[in-house]
Amino acid sequence: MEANGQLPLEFGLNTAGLAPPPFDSLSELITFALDNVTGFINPAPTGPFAGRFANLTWNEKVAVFSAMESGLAGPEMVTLANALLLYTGLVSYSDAGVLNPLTGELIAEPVGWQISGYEGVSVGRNDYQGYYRGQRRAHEH
Amino acid sequence: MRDVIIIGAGGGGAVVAKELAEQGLDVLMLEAGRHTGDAEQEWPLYESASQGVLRWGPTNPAMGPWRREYAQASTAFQTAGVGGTTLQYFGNSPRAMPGSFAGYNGADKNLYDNNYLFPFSYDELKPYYRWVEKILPVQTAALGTKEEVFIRGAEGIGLHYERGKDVDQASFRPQQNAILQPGGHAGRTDDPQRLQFPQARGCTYCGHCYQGCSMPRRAPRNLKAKRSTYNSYAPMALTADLWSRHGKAAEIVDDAFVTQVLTEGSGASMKAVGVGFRIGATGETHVETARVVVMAAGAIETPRLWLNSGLPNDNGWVGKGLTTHATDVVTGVMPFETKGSQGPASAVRADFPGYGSFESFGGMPGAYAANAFLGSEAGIAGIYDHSGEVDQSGADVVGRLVGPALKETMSDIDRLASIVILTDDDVDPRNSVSLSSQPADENGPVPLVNAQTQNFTARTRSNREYLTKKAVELLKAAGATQVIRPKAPPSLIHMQSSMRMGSDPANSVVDENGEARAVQGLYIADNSSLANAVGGPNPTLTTQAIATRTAEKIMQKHFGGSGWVDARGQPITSVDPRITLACEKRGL
Ligand SMILES: Cc1cc2nc3c(=O)[nH]c(=O)nc-3n(C[C@H](O)[C@H](O)[C@H](O)COP(=O)(O)OP(=O)(O)OC[C@H]3O[C@@H](n4cnc5c(N)ncnc54)[C@H](O)[C@@H]3O)c2cc1C
Repeated sequence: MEANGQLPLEFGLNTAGLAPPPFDSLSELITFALDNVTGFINPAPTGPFAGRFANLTWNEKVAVFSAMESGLAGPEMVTLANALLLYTGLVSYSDAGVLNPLTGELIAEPVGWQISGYEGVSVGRNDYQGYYRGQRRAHEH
Repeated sequence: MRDVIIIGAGGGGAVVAKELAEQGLDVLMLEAGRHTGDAEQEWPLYESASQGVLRWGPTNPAMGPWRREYAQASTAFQTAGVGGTTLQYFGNSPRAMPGSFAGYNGADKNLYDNNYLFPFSYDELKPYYRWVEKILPVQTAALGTKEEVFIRGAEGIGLHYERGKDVDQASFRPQQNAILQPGGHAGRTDDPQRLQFPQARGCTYCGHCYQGCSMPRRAPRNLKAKRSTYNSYAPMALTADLWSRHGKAAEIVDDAFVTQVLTEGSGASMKAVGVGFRIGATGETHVETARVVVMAAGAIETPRLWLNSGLPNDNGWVGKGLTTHATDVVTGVMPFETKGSQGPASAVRADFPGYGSFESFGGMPGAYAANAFLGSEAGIAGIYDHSGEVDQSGADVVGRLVGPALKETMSDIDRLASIVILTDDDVDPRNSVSLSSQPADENGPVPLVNAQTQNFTARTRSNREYLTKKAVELLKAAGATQVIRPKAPPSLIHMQSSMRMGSDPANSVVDENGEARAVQGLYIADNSSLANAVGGPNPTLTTQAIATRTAEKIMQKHFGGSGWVDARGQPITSVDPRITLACEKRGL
């Protein structure tokens, strides 16, 4: 994930009430789910992180997602895997990490804009190319 | 007691409100979300900021969204607030496919969802289409660069160019959009100084359709480019006394979540008498009574409210038959500029009667990456694929993109050309809205939405594949060096027919007039009341045409009036100077 997306993602994941009981937050639920599936791929990964999943190699992490998306770990895992990958990408490419919620202004140019060549928000663009074959009105039959 | 209470001021509800307020009825709209005061101030252009404001959730952005349960890996898009989901829609306003209606006798008749047709003919609806098209108004879209790319591809695969509004053969065309087309400097400059109304009029090509559309800056509310009902029908309803000779201003209460439809009597004489609602900010509850109640809370909330109100469901069709257009997405990487992040989100389309439609789309990078590359029912491209199918679409890459592949493909958003597939999907009772067993929220038991790909009928599947293949061909003919199909789970942007109208009482909730079969004086006038997937075209114009027809039926049956829409009808349009003046006078 681009550094940019991390803050809002953490905020969303740690907000109480978004996860079904018994979990207090989405991040608790996700950690639980990922670590559980990790147990089948590599029961005792070593590394500096508290969560088991975080200590896996790239290939092992892919294997965890593959297992989740295979449906073998239950339909909820399919949904969760898809949502995690989708939401991470969405946040990484959006302006989320650098938007000051108090002022509504950006504190820096979003990394997601730099890596996608996005020119930034605007009240208008210069891309009007006229009407196809000059036709401004559709006919009634 | 009011004449009419309307639940939800979105795509359909605001239409009924305007039509009946214009006739002089006492109309109250109850809207769960906010009534935005100053759109330019309140709707941010930033993607992440707008997610807290334009969303399905309480008016207080600090609170989490309203929860729903899903049976599949895709969530429903709905926006709370006056304007409803039209606040975020793209304004594409095609008419339905004629083959989705009763009485159709074209050579391709057998290609449609013939078990679940509209209970009246396409010709019956045409005057209502024309009426709504004038009021919004709907206009032929101009082209930007990404539209020219699409058209090059459409011409390249030999598609016919459709010049009319009624589609009877496979064809492409610029969209009929509920967007005022560019005038003055609009679309011709990126200099903010020259983009203020009235130097700029209509669509400024900013690329922020999804952020509510507050362009051009300084334009009066009814002259903003995108014709959400917030800009068009709702202000007309609220000022009906000022521009219509017999009109009476409708009233809106926002932050008002209806939790109960109240009835009297039982069996065949059960009748709607009012509603119970809850004010979000304070938690206060209220009751309002009316002679007629109109449900227009959208395809998920209308069945939820029906079920939470304990209304009858004798044939079991409440919430059943949800259609979603079984969407799919393909994207071409072009060796030239497409300006994929600029201009209206979608301004060109292709239609395939009997199969469905597809259209171009663009947008900001976060949503673009998510929609075009990240959702998948197959897996990660090149690494694993759990779909169990060999892809036949001709796409070069199948599955979602992650890591370096995503970075490489997204490295220039303005060289991408994307297409969303809108399948003519079958009504099927397995696709549904019911009540979830998860904990209720402050407004009652929450909905469970079931639109699983495995429930798609054989026709839905083959239509979806047919359209996707055509879209891949089009992108290649336009010059794509690579086409990516993530195999996205259907995105729930178009949801319809969950409280369907029909001629058969055994499989419909409302009759051909939009009135509930089980409860007198209770009408449904949103996407849920559509009979089917309208053949694939975007649904809102059809909902609005039928809502207009339903308003006439309400006037005729309950208030002794007569109809006002006919083939020669000339309504006042929402951009008329009288409406501008009325909005100013009322401080809208
Ligand atoms: C990104 C996107 C793009 C789209 N583009 C297009 C397009 O180009 N063309 C097209 O035709 N369609 C498009 N759509 C779909 C379009 O937005 C819907 O078809 C349309 O808004 C449906 O109208 P509706 O009245 O059924 O529901 P809504 O517009 O959602 O209105 C329902 C209203 O009821 C309110 N409500 C709900 N429950 C309650 C309650 N219990 N009490 C009080 N109020 C309540 C809601 O807050 C909402 O305001 C798009 C949708 C999305 C998400």
